[in-house]
Amino acid sequence: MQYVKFNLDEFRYVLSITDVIEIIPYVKLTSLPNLPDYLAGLFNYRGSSVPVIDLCSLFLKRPCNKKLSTRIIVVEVIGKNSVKKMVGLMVEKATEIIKVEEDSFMDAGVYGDDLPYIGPVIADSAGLISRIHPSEIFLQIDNEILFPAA
Amino acid sequence: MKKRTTKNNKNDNCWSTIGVWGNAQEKCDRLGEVIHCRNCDVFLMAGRGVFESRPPVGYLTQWQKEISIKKEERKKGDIGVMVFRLGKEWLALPVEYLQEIVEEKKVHKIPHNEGVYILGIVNIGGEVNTCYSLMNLLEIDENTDKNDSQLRRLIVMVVNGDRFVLPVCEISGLARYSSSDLLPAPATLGEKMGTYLVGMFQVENHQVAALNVEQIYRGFEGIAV
Repeated sequence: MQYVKFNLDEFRYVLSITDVIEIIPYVKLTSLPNLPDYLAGLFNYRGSSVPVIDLCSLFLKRPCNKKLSTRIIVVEVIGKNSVKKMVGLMVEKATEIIKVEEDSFMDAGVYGDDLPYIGPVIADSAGLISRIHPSEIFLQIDNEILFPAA
Repeated sequence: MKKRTTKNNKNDNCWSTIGVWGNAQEKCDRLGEVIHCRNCDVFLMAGRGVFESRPPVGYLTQWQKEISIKKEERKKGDIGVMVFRLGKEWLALPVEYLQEIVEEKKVHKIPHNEGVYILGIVNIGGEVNTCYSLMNLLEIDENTDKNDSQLRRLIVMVVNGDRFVLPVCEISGLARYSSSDLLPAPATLGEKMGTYLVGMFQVENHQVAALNVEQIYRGFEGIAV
């Protein structure tokens, strides 16, 4: 299976390419007043309005830097009431796709809601990398903003 | 991971000092393992460093425009071709015969050769190749209002083991068509050109003539012999 790798500071995450619709550079977003910090704004993605979540703001409390390696990963997530929705995840250092065998993921050994998200991990020469699933990011944020109440 | 132990242990551009592009006496120890610098993670990571810079002016605006356009599903076809322009005509050759596209370079005339079909010889990657004029074979008029020398390229084709270099005015890119989409060539086309065509198909907003490689091969072969 192939994974897109990105960084949140020193810690690295991978996201399965089967969850990815497209990876694009950080384009200019339309901001709205009173949005939570982690919602970087909205943009026109191929004719539909897509909100972008800045994972650096969400997990590190600082916005993503403005370098070429900062990219928006467009994914589809399933929210409340099984509503499907496209969102952009803004991440840093999204410059690599790696191949990982499914059975090489292992338990991370730390748990807790206060931690930035950590899932099953794999090891490489530089340390550990955590797998992340787009829908799991939404456990951390207020669903009411992105998914209308039924 | 094995550390490089050579004296010239510089992390920046080691590939051009102790690596394959360098002429230092002592070569990097890791070369034995990785064979070529391009397989080495030091070289790889240095390349990734490019992305750690600010985007060039206009890059993000261009992307913004691009991703706001709805994606249209492309028509699929079974025959892949490379589309290029000669004079006013857009033509296509099957990709399986295509070997390389290079920038226009000097074609050396062959002494005592006044032929219109063989333009001369040209150096492609250190090999001498014969350069043929598809334009003269198909009797296409070169004069157009858009003759940008910047766009001119040389196509290198391999047909039945023989290499042909064909100068073209512009390359449009790759396209696909299915044989059922082919339309007959218009009657206004010259008789000469008609014999080399398979048919016409539409790419974006222009009509493209799909060429018959075997016929062209025979055309040039007849001249060369």
